[in-house]
Amino acid sequence: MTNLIERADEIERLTAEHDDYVIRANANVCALNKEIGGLRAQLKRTNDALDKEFNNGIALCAKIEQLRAHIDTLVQERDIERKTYNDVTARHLLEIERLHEDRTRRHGAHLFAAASIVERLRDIPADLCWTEDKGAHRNIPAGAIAHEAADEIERLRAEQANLRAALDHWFALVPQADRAQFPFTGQVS
Amino acid sequence: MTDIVERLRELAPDYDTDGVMLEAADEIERLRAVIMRAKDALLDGQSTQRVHDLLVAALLGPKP
Repeated sequence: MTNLIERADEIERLTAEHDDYVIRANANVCALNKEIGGLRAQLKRTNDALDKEFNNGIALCAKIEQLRAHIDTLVQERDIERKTYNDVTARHLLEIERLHEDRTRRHGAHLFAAASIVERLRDIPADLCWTEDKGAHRNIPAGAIAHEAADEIERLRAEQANLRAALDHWFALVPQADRAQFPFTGQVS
Repeated sequence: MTDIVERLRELAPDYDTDGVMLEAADEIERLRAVIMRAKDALLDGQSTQRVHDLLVAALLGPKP
């Protein structure tokens, strides 16, 4: 009898332990389920954020590609513009060089021609006279006229040279800002 | 006495065999015209740079 009572007590104790264990296990399962729910929600938020970042990344890549294409277009336009500019500059330099050479050639030719006129006039003897035979006889002092013409050409060349020299001197002496205050008078020697 | 240019032109048709008289007359007239234009421009108050450019362009003479 005593043995039966002991066993009943033992069964009751074990049942209580079992119930307690089941209650604690259920509580643990609930806590774990709650934690799993939280983790799942966090995982979903992370996935959503990653999806959003991914989409943003794709949009950024597209934008970068657009900018790169735009930069390529600008570079091409710049190269074309630079080539055009270089070509125009080269043509201008060639034209300037040609004009400079042309001016130098004309300048030299003019000096030679002007000098040769004076020399040819001087080569005519100063006392040379021609006799005109048209009605009344008349002596034409051709040599004197030729030398007078040579003198006049040299005088005029000296006058223009003096005028240019006076202007150059005035440019050198009077600063640009003071030229209205001290105008060039045109007085030349 | 008439002007030297007039006398040169009068002389040229009969006696100017190599054309130097006519060339001299043209040169004298050209030099006179340019100098007169430069002086007129100065009297008209045009800029001295313009007068200088005019002299250089028209005369192409030796720079002193």
